[in-house]
Amino acid sequence: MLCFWTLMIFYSAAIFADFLAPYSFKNEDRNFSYCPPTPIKLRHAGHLTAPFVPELKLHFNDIHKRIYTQDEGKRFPLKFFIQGDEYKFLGMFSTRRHLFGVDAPGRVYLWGADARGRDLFSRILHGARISLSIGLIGVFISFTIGLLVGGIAGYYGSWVDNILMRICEMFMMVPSFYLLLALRTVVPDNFNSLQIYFSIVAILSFIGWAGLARIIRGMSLSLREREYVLAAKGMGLSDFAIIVRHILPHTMSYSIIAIMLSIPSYILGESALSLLGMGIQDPYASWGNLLSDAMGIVAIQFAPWILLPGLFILITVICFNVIGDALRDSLDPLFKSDFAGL
Amino acid sequence: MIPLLELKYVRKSFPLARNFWGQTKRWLTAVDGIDLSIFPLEHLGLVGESGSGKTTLGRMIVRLLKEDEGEIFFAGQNLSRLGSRRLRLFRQHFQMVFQDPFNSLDPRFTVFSLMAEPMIWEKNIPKTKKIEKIQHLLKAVRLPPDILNRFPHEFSGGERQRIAIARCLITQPKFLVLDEAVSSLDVVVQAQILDLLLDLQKAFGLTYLFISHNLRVVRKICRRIAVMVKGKIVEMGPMAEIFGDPRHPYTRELLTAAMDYKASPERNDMVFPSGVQLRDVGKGHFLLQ
Ligand SMILES: Nc1ncnc2c1ncn2[C@@H]1O[C@H](COP(=O)(O)OP(=O)(O)OP(=O)(O)O)[C@@H](O)[C@H]1O
Ligand SMILES: [Mg+2]
Repeated sequence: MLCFWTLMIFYSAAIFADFLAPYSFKNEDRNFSYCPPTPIKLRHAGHLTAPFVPELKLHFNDIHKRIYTQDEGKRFPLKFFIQGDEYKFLGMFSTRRHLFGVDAPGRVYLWGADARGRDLFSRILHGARISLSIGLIGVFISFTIGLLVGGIAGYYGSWVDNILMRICEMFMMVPSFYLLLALRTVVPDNFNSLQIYFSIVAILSFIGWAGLARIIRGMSLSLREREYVLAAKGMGLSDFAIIVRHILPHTMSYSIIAIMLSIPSYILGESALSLLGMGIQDPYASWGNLLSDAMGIVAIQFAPWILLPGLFILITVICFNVIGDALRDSLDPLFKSDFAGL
Repeated sequence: MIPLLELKYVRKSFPLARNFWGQTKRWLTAVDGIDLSIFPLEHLGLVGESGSGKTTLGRMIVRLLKEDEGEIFFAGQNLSRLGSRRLRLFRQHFQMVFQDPFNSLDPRFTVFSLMAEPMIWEKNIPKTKKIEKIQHLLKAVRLPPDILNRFPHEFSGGERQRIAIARCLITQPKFLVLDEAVSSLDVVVQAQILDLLLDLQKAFGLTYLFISHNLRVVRKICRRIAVMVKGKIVEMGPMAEIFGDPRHPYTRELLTAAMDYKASPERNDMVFPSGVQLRDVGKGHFLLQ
């Protein structure tokens, strides 16, 4: 249950990322490179005040390390529903409102800044859009393919089954990570970010459908002997209608579990690609390419907050797995009644 | 009289064992060369022990299985020659009622969607017309018309079998194969369904192939009986002839079991020498000799 709400929060945060984040994903200020999380203070000179952010002053110490000191001489009050970077709210209308922020030249970095002084909090929110949606879209595509291929193979049997299953095995034979890399190299370099996004989705779903197809094929092989399937055939329904109406729905309880358990692999796949610099390109943010900033030990040592995207990947993956397991436990009786002998 | 359904030396085998190369080594002949004619408005009872190939025969007639050899004619049309598209249209003329109404109705469908399913392609029929038609048939099988939104598991076995029968009648078939259609029901409900079947026969002008292993049930609605053993019809004839003068040892055994038939001749070893044929022994009574 906790996991469910965590995911709900993640997904709604991703949907309203523009509004929740104080900055857009490419808003940078090089004066604040690797700025640590800014404190939000409620007290000034011993008195309670409205929340504010103190001015940050940059120094270099004797080994040229950046040191930010707080100077409460100049205070930037934290404002809600502030005007900021322009964006399209839910893709419908343009607005500049953000949930919170401070007036320039002050900057608020809830979770610190990256090398180019971009707000990590804003970028994680924007990255959630890509990382989380890739899981859903990828799963949707590969499950559509997997269900249809599995249903057709199992229902027709004989040579149709043979051909389709050999194709499946070709996909399952190659370790998926190498397949992922190999397919990525096929994608032209001059794609824009949207095209790259969709090619990553396509690649991930291309890899993912085979395993499901095999299992659905096994189920539909046994389901096609059911009398209601025979009855539907006798009624004059087309094979396609029988597969879609009478065979695939009976594999649903299994499929839902499989969907839940396989979403993480899409998120991880995207992260892996982006981490290696082959996925979503800067300045666009995904959790994977945010994490690629954290590949140097020096960066981690001086700016440990850039590991945060990894934590989000971890939490999301764990949540999907826990939910998948919980669903499996609760749907098990149902599943068993559908597949007593399987 | 022209038969509605005519079977000419129909055979069907199932693979039993395969060798290493995937070739079938042993076959099980479930239906072994059956000739049979069924006339319009007739009820033919098909009885036989378990595994004698009754279901296989019924399924071949309604084209859920394809025969290996032989031909099946329905209203003059050679079913074996129909292409898949034309066959799908032709299916409306014959339907099958299955033994177990718990399995033959998809548990995820409501009564309405089950009953409307055979009309799925007739998109230009408005939903109210479909409902009207469905309710008319529900009334014909003596079910209340307000059950359209309920699911199969909410009904008793007898009610489900009525739904299954009503569903078969949607396409206005002329011919029904009833495969052990009442075997899973208790005696009282059995009698009700049999009554219903007789009424429906009159109302809709149906012809039945009534498959059963229970002679008592068959006697209630059939005037002609065929007895099947090991994929062959061994004896066939009018009700009174079979009951009054059973010739084949298996028929006698069936009668003994079902009706306390007095004679108890020892059962012959049932191996058929080749070249045996159904021979007329008078009064429409045929025997495998
Ligand atoms: N799909 C199949 N594959 C292999 N063998 C089959 C198949 N269907 C039926 N058989 C075999 O064919 C034989 C005849 O089966 P069938 O179901 O027609 O008998 P039946 O007379 O209907 O028996 P019952 O009274 O038990 O229903 C049986 O020995 C059965 O094992
Ligand atoms: Mg049977």
